[in-house]
Amino acid sequence: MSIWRYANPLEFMRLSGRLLTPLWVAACVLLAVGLGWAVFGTPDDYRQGSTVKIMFIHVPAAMLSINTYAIMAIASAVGIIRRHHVSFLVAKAAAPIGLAFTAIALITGAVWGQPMWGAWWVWDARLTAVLIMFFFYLGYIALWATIDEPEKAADLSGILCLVGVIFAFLSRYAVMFWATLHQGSSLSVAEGQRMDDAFRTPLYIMMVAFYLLFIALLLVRARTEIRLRRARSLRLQALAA
Amino acid sequence: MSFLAGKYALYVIAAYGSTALILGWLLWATLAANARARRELAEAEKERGR
Repeated sequence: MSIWRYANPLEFMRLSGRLLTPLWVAACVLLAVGLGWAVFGTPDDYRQGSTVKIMFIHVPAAMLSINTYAIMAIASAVGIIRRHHVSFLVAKAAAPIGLAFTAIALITGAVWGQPMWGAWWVWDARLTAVLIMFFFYLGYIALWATIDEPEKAADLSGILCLVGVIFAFLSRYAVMFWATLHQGSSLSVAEGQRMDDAFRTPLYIMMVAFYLLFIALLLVRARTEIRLRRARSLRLQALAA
Repeated sequence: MSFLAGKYALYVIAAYGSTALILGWLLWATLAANARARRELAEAEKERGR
């Protein structure tokens, strides 16, 4: 069975309709368990004090901000190359979610940085790359909103998305290229465990919860875009008749 | 709930509060847009049926 059958809006609507309820339930349960564990069940860090609890929302949000951009870029590339409308609509649907997670990552990072680094913001390579990626999200959403012709909007915003991929890449890997104030990865398969189990387990739960929430939101937004496109198409057919 | 009384309490509450606000807005905007799209499609299908 080919994955491309889900580029058919009817197939996409059927599959996503079946997945949505279990996704919402799993996301809510894991979010409740993860938040409860993170806030009430973890000790304070010996150096960071209670600000370590910010990590449980900052890390999943930061991961999603970068990965959402990667998903948008892949969907845009598939849309441009294979002319699949659902791919463009998935990229469009993902943008506000990525924007929200990037805003959460930036805000929670600043709130953690003030007591720990002594500054709300530093022009560090990773932070700057994430900020530029935030503006790419804004630009992408604005471009879709300002062009009336959907085909043209999809192509131009897709190209803009692909241009911004470099900043998603830098957001992820800047800590490897430059000596940055932002610490490197704490969850690295290659470099082994750097975090105590007391923090690691609830962090994993929060990461899974955020990803499930992301998928549920993405499916709802993609279904919204497909419905709007269908409504527009019906209206145009009625006008032409 | 030691973190609510600690010296970093405001920072932790601000981080979780701002996250709740942003996710709340995202959820509301997503569900509202979906409801609007459903209505719009239903109207378009009704108009087509006339």
